[in-house]
Order: sequence, then structure tokens, then C-alpha cells
Amino acid sequence: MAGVGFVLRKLVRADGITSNLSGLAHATLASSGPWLFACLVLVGIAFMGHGIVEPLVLRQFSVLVMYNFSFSLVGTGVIVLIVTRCLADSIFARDISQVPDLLTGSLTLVFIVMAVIGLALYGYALDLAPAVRAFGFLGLMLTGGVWLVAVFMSALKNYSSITASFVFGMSVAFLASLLLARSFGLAGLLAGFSLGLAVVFFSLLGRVLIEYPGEITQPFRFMLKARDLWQLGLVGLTVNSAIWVDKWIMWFAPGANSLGTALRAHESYEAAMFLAYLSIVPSLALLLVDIETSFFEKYWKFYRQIGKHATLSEIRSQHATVTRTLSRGLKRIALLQIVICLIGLLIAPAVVTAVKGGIEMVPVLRYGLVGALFHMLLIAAMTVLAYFDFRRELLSVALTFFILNGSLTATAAMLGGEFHGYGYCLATLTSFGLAYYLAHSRVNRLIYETFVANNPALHTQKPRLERF
Amino acid sequence: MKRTADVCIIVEGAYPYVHGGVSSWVHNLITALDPLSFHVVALKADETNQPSRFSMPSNVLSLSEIALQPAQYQSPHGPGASATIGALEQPLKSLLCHGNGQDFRQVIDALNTHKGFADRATLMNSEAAFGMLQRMYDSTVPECSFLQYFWSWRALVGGLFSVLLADLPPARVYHAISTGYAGLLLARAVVETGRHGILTEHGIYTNERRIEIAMAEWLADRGKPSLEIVKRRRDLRDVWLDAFIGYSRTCYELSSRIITLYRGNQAMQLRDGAPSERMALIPNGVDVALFSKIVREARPKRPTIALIGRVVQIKDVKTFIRAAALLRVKVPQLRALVMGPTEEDPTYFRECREMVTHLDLGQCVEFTGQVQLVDYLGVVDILVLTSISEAQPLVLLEAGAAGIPAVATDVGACRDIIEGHPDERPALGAGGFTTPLANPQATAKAVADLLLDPSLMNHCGSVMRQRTARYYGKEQTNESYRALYESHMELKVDPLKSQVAA
Repeated sequence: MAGVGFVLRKLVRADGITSNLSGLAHATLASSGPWLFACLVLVGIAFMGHGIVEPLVLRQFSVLVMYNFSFSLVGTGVIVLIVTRCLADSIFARDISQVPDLLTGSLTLVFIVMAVIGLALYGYALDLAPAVRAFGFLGLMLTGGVWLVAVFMSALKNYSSITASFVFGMSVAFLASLLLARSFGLAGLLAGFSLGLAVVFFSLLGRVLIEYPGEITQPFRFMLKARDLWQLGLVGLTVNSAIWVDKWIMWFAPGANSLGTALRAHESYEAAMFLAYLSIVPSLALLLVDIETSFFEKYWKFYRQIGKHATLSEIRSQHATVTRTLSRGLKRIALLQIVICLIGLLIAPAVVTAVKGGIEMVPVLRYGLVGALFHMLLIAAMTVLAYFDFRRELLSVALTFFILNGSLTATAAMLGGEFHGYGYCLATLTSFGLAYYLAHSRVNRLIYETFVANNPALHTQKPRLERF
Repeated sequence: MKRTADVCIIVEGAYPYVHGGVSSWVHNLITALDPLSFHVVALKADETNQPSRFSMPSNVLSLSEIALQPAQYQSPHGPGASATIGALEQPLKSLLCHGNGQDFRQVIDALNTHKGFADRATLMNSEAAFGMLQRMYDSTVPECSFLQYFWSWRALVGGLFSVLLADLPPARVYHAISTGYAGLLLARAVVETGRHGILTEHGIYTNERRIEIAMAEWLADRGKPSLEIVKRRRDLRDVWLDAFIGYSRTCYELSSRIITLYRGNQAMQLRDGAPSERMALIPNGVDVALFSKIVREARPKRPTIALIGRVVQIKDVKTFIRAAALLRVKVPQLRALVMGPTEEDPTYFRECREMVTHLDLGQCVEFTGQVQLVDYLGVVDILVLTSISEAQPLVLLEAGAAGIPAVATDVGACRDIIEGHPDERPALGAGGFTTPLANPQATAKAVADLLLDPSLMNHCGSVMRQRTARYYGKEQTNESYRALYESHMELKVDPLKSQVAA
């Protein structure tokens, strides 16, 4: 019989579209939570130590903790985002038997990366007392571990146990630092803080091991899949770098402080920026709630009904629902953040006074608050891009943010003190503009994107690697 | 630039990748017609490398492959796409709905006018193309699963574009061995080169697709339930079938000669729009000299029946196995051979083997795999076919030339071969029995009647031998095709009108 060149069934790959439905749910949120946590702790420390140790030691401690946060976030960025995706896929596929492998493999990698950074920082770049080096190094390793392990909990949406771990661990850190600081100074502060981090790390790790039982067989197998996810890894690295690049540049800008032993910081800039970041806490919470309650269900239904043989008109109407939900959610977040921003602009001088900052901090804080407004909207837009798996778009936004935040901050730093914070503000504004444009246009033609442009079944050259 | 061949032969999904009737037919025709030179265009499902099962005859200048569903690497054009799609949409839409040669010409014109944007990525993956897909869905089956329509459309239209965008080897006459996509390439060759197109259909393509589509239950309507009782709502199966009917009609209208093997097929060709004045019959021939030399093994031996064919659903091997189980009651020594490749449909093969185990036929039914018929025919007493569809099965004739009677389902040309053409003078009588489809009892009874009556069996065998020698020698077939090719090698007078020159 001629002409049986194909088997019909093979042509109708009914599962192609929905099989890649990734729960990339927490990727962006997971990457914005940690630095917020960093800000909270640092601001807390500013109040904590007065009168217990010398101001210089306290400042050195803050800077070292900031270094640890900064370099660990950047160093773990690639691994954390890839792990987030692998985890989401496992959970989507209802098969978490390989999660212990993933945990072991990724934690090993994180520790290797942290050790390299730690040796460079504490062994080579900074000139510190041996005990300070040791506890600084330990703190760095633990911080990196915390970022990774938290992902395993947030993938289960188990936010309460994450919060509990952080609250308990940071309380330990607070008390232990204060106790040890009296006798051991900087080393004592770091040792106490590391103890708190250890509590966070091990309590999270314990929860993770309970939640994902199983045996460890091939811990590095996830790296095979990582070849498919390189864009995502790059997003993780770029976003985290973008958030810190302005601080790195400011360390070397006019007005930066040298705190001895090769420690550099720009304390007024950093303090202003961290205060500004705190302004997005309510909106971030709103975003999380919005996604969990109203958006996710509509998003999920959109894909699920396609797989369940919906008609085109049903798909179109669900698409309209998704679009409507998104724009309503974004409007609410924008409104809330604008209000907070305006209040912040008004009370900026009072806030600066309250934290005993200099008058030059006020304009920086105001730029920072406006920047945080757009930063919040940027996070929301990037979350949307991540949900719909627009990786290339996500990467271009992250790169834009990184390049602009770096170059504009450098430019502002050169222009002089009155421009500090201006670079960050412009960078978030522009990056948000791009992210919004991309999210808007991609989501508006979501049906086309889903079936054709972003359908992995149409574009892979080789058969896709099996799901992790 | 390729050398111009005398004949460009276009085969879909058969030669040279699979064994089987059509593949061997093509191979033997090419070999026999040396010194005519050939280009072979083989259409296959995708780009996966498939080994050739035949060594190319020396008069084949080239073998080109066209993947109907290639994987997609490039990105579509953005802005230019909408003009291309705009020009393409109307004719493509009518082509897919019982279309004809006129629609097909307009599709080609649209692609030629917008050559710069007529690449596969733009035609399949641009936003404009997706818009066209949606409009076609809305206007044909708006209540069906869009996901399945989407993949169906891509398969149907993707194959069309593959054929339209592929390189066409230069030849003096084009010959397609089926309608469908092979037929579309033939139609394109006729339109673009002004050469004659010859079509040979062994089985009727639309009919085979109809069976395949009817069996595809997963394609059935899964949309909203309808309260309409009188008229079945159109569903995706209609989408597939309408497209294939349009493809076939296009090919019929643009072919100069429409050949098939036996009368039964011609009725279906007419139904699908073939112009009757261009239709002709050329039955397949076999190597009568070779097969008539086979020495039949004398009895006593185990009574042996054989089904010769690929182990696939369409051959209905399971009915053969069931018939063997029924026969074993009357003929305990029965040996039932299934002779043919088993690798094409592994699932079906496994089911067949499981059935043999379940029915405890391990001592009776044997799967020999691909074998040389000449070595086996000597031991075969009766040839059995249980196919639910056949064209003109060569094995019936090969066995017939060796003097083996046949029991076959009443499909394709089986009845003509076993009972003789109505015009047969003098009538030779029956060389066996025809049976209803999927009826193991009938098959078993016919086989038992022959096996248990040696004189009837011998008589039927000699009838088969005579009939094959008289009507079905391969020399007759080859000469018919040589004459057909030679009379169509000149350019047509007016390439725009598909008039028969011969």
C-alpha cells in the first residue's frame, strides 16, 4: 500500500503544548525575597549594636555581612534558578523521588562556589584577624546554603516554615552576636551571626529532608538538564548582579568609606538604598497573594483546558480572563506602591533623622524610593514573564537591568553626590518599561505564543531530555 | 543541476524504506525498464535517517528525499508574512475543503508571487499563519478540540508545503505511485514544468486514509455535545478527509493518465473526481517463469497454509491466527506460516504473538519474518490472505504461478484473480475461494474445504497457474509502462490546460 508515509497518531502530539507547562512559579519571587531579607537584617544591625561595641567595629561587621549577602546571592544565582525550575518540574510531574539527589548535588555545588569566593575574599582580598576570617568564611558558606535550601521549601509554598526558621535563627543571631561582641569584638559579632545562620540553615535543611524523603543515587544528574536551562541560570546570575552592581560601583565612588583592612563601603548610599527597598515589602506580599489566589488558578486553567480539548473560543475567553486578571493585579500593586512611595518621599527627612543619617542621605533615599517603585513593578513584570516561560525575554530584561544599573550608577557617581541614587532610579524605570512592553505584547498574543512561538514541541532540534 | 532523467518516479512512504508490494513493484519496474533513466523522489514522514532496503538500480540517477514533517529550526519572517499569507489563504482554504487543481494552481501562484517570504518557517510559524489557521478553524469546525485541529492542520498543510518547497528533479515525464502528497508533487511538476504526469494508484489513497482516519478514535469529536440528531456534526475526521480528497482530486485533474490495477479501484477514482477518459487499467505482473519452476513438495507432510505479508493491522493477521485455531480441530497437524517483516508495527506484532500464546498455537503458527518466497512456496499448500484492504496482491499471483490455490478476503483484485475476470474467455473457473472480511470461520471453512479435498486443491492450483501465466506476466506490465512513458515524454502542447496528449 503506497502512501502510508506516516502514522496519524504520531502527527497529533496532543501533549506537546502542555507538557512543558512549567511551574516556574517561584523563580522570580524566590530571587527577590533574599535580598529583602538582607536589607532587614542589616537595618536591624544598625540599631542593635550601638553602645555595645565601637562604632567602627559595628560598621565593619555590617559591611562584612553585606559582603556575604552580596557575593553569596550572586554566586548562587545560577544554581538557585536552575534548581527552582528542576524542582517545579518535579513537583508538576508529581515525582519528587529525585529531589534528594537534586538537593545533594546542588548543595555541593553551592558550597564549592562559596568556598572559592570565600577563599578569595577572606583569604586574599581582605586583611583581617584569623578569627574574623574564619567566622566570615563560615558565614558566607552558610548564607549561600540558606539561599539554596529556602528554594526547596518555597517550592512547596511552605512559607510559614521559612519565616519561622528565619525569625528564630535571626533571633539567635541577634542575641548571640550581642553576647559574644562584648568579649570578642568583631569576631564575636560574626560568630554569633554565623550561629544564627546555622540555625536557619539546618532547620530549613531538616524540614527539606522531611518533606522530600528518598535516596541519593545520582546527585549531579540535574546538571544534564541544566544544559537546557542555561538561559534561566543566566537570569539568576544577572538579576542578582543587577541588584548589587550599583553598590559595588558606589564602593569606589567619591564619598565611599574605607573602614580599614581593605574594607570598602558607601554607607550613606547603602543605608538609603536598604531603607528604600523596605518600602516594597507590602507590595511584594500583595504580589505573592495575588498570584497564589487569583492569577494562578486562571493561568492554570488556560493551559489545562487546552490539553482537555477546549474549543478556540473557550481558549480565547480564558485568555481574556488571564489578561484581565494580570492587568488588574498589576494596577493594584502599582497603586499600593505609588502610595507608599509618595508617603516615603514626604517622610524621607524624618526617616533619615531616625536612623541618624546625614542630610545628604535624603535625596538619595528619595531617588531610591522612586527606584523601588519601578523595581517592584519590574519584579511583577518579570514574574509574569517567568510564569509563561518567556526565558529569552526574561534574560534580556535582566541583562538590561544589569547593564543600566551599572553604567548609570557609574555615570551618576562621576557626576557627583547630588546624583547618587539617580542611576538606580533610571535603570529600574527603563528596565520596567522594557519588561512591561515584553510582558504586555507576549501575553496579548499568548495563544500564538503557546501554540507556536513558545511551543517547545515545535522548536527543539533533538528530542528533549527526559524530565528531571 | 541534476541531469534530466527520462522518468521521475514519486513514492510516498514506501520505496525504498519499507518492504512490501508497492516498494518491490517500483524497484522491479525501474530495473526492468533499463535503459530508461530515473530520478526517484521518496516522501517520508520526517528527517530521521531511514536505511534503504533496496540497492538502487544502475539506471537511477538520483534518490531525493522529502520530509513531510521536518523539525523546525528557523524563525519566521515578521512583516512580510502577512502579505504572503493573505494571498495564500483563500486558495489554501478551498484546497483543503474538497479542493481541485484550480485551487492548487492558485496556491502555487501565491507562493511564487511572494517568493522571498515563502519559506517553511513563515508559512507555518508566523503570527500571520497562525491567524490563518484560526480563521480556518472558525469557519470549519469551531466546536472541535483546537489542540487537535492545530496539530492536524500542521500535519496536513505542513506536508503540502514540504512538497511545494522541495527541489523538483528535472525529468521528461513524472510518475507518482499514489495521490496524497506524492500526487501533489506530481501536480506541481505538471504545473511548473509543463511535462506530463502519470499516476498509478495501487490502493486508492483517499480510501486508505478513510480507513485509517475511521480507526483513529482519538480523533473523534471531543467537543461540546450536540443536540442535533439528524446530521452528524462535522469533526476533525472530516477535516482530514476533506483535505485528502482535495489533494487527490488535484492530482487526478492534473494527471495525463490515471492507472490502476483492477476495476474495483476505478469506481473510487471516479467518485473522487478522476476524469474517466484518462483512466486505464494495467494489472501487476509477476515473474511467472521463476515461480512456475518451483517444485512443490509432495505429501505426506504437514498440511501447510501461509499468509504472506507484513505483520500490520491492515493485513488482519489476527483473523488468520483465529482461523488457524479453528482449523486445528479438523486438521491437527496444521502448520500456519506468517511470512513477512514484523518490525513495522511492533505493538501489533506483540499482540499477535500474545494471541498465539493464548490460543496455545505455539506448535502451529510460525512467524518467519522476511524470507525468500522461492524457498518457501514449495511447502505451502494454500495461500491465505485476511487483509481488510488490498490492491492487487502480488503474493496471490506469485503463489498462483507456482500452482498454489488461494483463500483470500474479498478485497481489491482478489476476486478477479481467484475467480477470473468476467470477460475471461475461455473461463478458467475458480482457483480457490474468496471470504468476507474479518471472518475467521469463513476463512477456516474455505481452507478446510481445500485441504480435506486433494483433488479440488489440485484443480484450483492448476487454474491459478493457467490464469497467472495468461494475464499476469510481468513482461506484459513492464511493456505497458514502457509504452506509456515513451508516449508521454514530449512537452505538453499547452501546459496551462491539462489535456491528454496521448
